[in-house]
Amino acid sequence: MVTSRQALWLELMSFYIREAWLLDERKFTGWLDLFADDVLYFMPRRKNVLRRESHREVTPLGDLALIEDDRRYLEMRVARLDTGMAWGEDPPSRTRHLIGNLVAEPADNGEVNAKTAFLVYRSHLETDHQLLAGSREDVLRRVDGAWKIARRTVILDANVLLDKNLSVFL
Amino acid sequence: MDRSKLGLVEARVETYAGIVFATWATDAPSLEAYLGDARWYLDTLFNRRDGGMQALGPMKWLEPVNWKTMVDNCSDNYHVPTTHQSSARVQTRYLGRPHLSHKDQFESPNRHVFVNGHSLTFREAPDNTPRYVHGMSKDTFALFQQYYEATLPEVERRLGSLRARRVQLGNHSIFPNGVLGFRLALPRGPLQTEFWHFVLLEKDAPETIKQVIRIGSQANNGVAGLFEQDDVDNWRQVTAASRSRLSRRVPQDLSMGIGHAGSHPDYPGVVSERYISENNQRHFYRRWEEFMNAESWADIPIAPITARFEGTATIRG
Repeated sequence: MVTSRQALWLELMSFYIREAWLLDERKFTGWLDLFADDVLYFMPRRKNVLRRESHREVTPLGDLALIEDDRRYLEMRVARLDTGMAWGEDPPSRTRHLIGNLVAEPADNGEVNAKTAFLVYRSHLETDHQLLAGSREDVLRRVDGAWKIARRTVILDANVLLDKNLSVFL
Repeated sequence: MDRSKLGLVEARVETYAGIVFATWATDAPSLEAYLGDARWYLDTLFNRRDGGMQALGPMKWLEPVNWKTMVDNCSDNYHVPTTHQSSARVQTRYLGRPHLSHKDQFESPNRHVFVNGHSLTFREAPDNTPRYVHGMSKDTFALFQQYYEATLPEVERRLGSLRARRVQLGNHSIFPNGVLGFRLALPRGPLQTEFWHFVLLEKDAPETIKQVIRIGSQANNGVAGLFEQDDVDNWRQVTAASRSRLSRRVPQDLSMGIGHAGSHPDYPGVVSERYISENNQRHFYRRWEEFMNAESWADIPIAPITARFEGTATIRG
């Protein structure tokens, strides 16, 4: 017997696995479709602070973020790749998104708060490579029967970014 | 034990418009002398308002390049239409950003100006036009125009009419390793640089303006920036290529615009005729050579201040 919480977990795990395949197979238009029109895609900076200053570790909205995109900017990031001149991603990166540690909590308004951990391996050009780890905190909303990401906050496990850039989607 | 000799090495610290500069050298010139006439231009960005500026950031990342590559890149305006074409195009389409083409760049009225070691670019803007920043789009231009007009009396009081209305600082580098506005290229070894990227905002600007500039900055510059993503492999690959034996037989050609720069009656420093020029780069590398070969600060020529600083703004803000 599957409880409603377990059913939700299964449904969302499938959602996140599908997202990972869309990204790794470079189906970026399909990936864009997973986001609501009013989405905020937010990747704050993470600072190296003492334990007693943990409240300052992740920068709040309003400070300089690594990414602070609305739907339009996400579309621009994808549209850029189709111009044939996105040199940083042409040849494209070879990625592998591993998603896990899903915890999903229904909210009162019918939306769901879900967090997942990721390990993304990226290989680029001849020998460039990068391992990115972190978590995503999503607010998910049902739109016409499908889940959409209404808000995503990506927390990278990094202070100084070590490799190249963040040209792959997380 | 003489404890008085066991303290930390003290740096000498001075500020310009709230930006903190430090040096270990006790015999270095004052910050005012060091910035020299460059401050005449820098004021048009950093010293506009009574309330001064605030810094967001820094965003930090590492690249296997020499710090000088970043400074060179900062005055390199001809890579832009090629390297950043895809980012410019989508932003023209979605945001109504000005078109970017080789023709636009080569016909740009902007110029290089090398002044006392600092590599700047600037334009003489038409009257009543706010300085272009990332984040300006067809949706936000009116906001910037409004802000510009509302603050113009204050800026004119502080900087005088010419600098308030017409002189606009473009991409620039404060010697040795400050670039854009505002980023540090910190050497971590001969082929390793750590970038610290800040966004500077006028403290008294309305929240809407600050938000647009902040979002525009992260969208274009920084690790995930639409513009900057395409710079990274350029820097890495020119660095890697420069290390080969064959490559060392072919010195970097920096002859663009030789003979097409000089003093200007209205603008201090060595002003190039065109925006597309390598005048700044030539002067920058020679300046670096001067610093490397000097026995002390006494050997380093500091150009005297000749610019007329109209208005009430001072080095302290």
